[in-house]
Amino acid sequence: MKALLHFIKWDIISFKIYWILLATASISIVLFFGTSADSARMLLFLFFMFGIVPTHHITGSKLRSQHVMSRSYLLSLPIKRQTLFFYIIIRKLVFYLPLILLFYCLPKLAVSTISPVFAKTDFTNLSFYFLVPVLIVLFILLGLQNKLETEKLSAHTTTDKRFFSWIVLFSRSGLLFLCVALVLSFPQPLASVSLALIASVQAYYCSRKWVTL
Amino acid sequence: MSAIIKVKNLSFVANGRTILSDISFEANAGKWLAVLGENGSGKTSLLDQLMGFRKPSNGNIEVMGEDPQKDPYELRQQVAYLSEKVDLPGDCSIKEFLRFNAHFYKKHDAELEQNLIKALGIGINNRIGNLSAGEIRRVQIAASLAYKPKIILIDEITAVLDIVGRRKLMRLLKQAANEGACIVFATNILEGLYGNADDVLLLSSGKVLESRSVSLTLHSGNDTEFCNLISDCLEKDVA
Repeated sequence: MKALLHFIKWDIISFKIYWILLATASISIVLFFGTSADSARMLLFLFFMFGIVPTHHITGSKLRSQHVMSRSYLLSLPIKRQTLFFYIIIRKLVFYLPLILLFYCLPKLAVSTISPVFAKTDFTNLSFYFLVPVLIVLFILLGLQNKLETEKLSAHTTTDKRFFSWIVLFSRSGLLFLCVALVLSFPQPLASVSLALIASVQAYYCSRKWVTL
Repeated sequence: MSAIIKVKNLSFVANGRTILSDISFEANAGKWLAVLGENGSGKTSLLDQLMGFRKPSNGNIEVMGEDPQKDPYELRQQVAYLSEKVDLPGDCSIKEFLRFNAHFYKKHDAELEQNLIKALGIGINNRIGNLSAGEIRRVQIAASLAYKPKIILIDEITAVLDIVGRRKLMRLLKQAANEGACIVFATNILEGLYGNADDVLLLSSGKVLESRSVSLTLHSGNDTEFCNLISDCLEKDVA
């Protein structure tokens, strides 16, 4: 836990300029557009993009990179590797906190922005508050899977192998999106539980890939 | 003396290519094992196996009695891994990185770190992104040796160090070995090994070449003899 807090502190300090920019932009949007649906949509987009910013920095790179901690360094730390992987998800989730809070504060508006069909759902249901972070974790895991697969396929020596790996990667991502879309049409408590299960499987798959160089 | 690292019949196959084949060796505390070989002979893969980064296809590895594949994370409190593959975050200063890194190690010695920084000539307020490859390695050396590791695994970091940096590293490693650390040093550069290394593991195409005669030369011959013998062994094997 101490290590996790240490990492989070490190991330916040490393990206302090981004946090300041986010706060400035958010305040400006509210000042210029008031508390309208338009400003909420703009904030939604802004907060979503903000969550993506530290992806590369937090995951660590297998390939040589001048500005990012390598995964060899992370994996050589005296921390259980599965725990370290769990920390990565939490650290990324910290950058999605503004988005999660927006969803929690303005659920109807936020959801109608991303899916008009989904907007018909009853947001008084408690499971909605569970569904939001689960969806974001799934999105994080999808990004992680793409990064890990891209690293792997860039190591393939022949064009044929790389091409085949790209097809597999796109198919797998597409399949996951389909699954998520399908599950979202379920009644909400069932959708939340099903997505949590999908996220667990995806987390298991990614963690196994992440801990091996 | 009981071996701190034991490798028995280790083989590693990746993408259908045999990287390591039937490797066996032992490394003891207070000893310096030089892992030598041509490019692509399996030196990095061997160190990756010792760190548990990759799963062996066959054979056993024991590092201080633990299997690296079982993620003995507490053990890594006593292991320093210095590799050319390790990149540090470019945005922060050296001081910030050292503080960040120190947090993870229970035996971190701030005073020792200061001495290492001084000895290696590191300006701690510089931003890591502005450093040369050799300077980054010096930071890595200071960060790793500051918690007095019992095992130091080094994967080809001397190539980017200048002659002074190399000499300083050799001196620090010799001192660590004298204090009981086990050093496994994979390199292509033979300079500085004579008189420092205790044993040699000579690899060629993932296999161990006859290492005893080379190790003997380390103790009885001289620098030139040692370098010639290594080159001869490798050349003969390739031919």
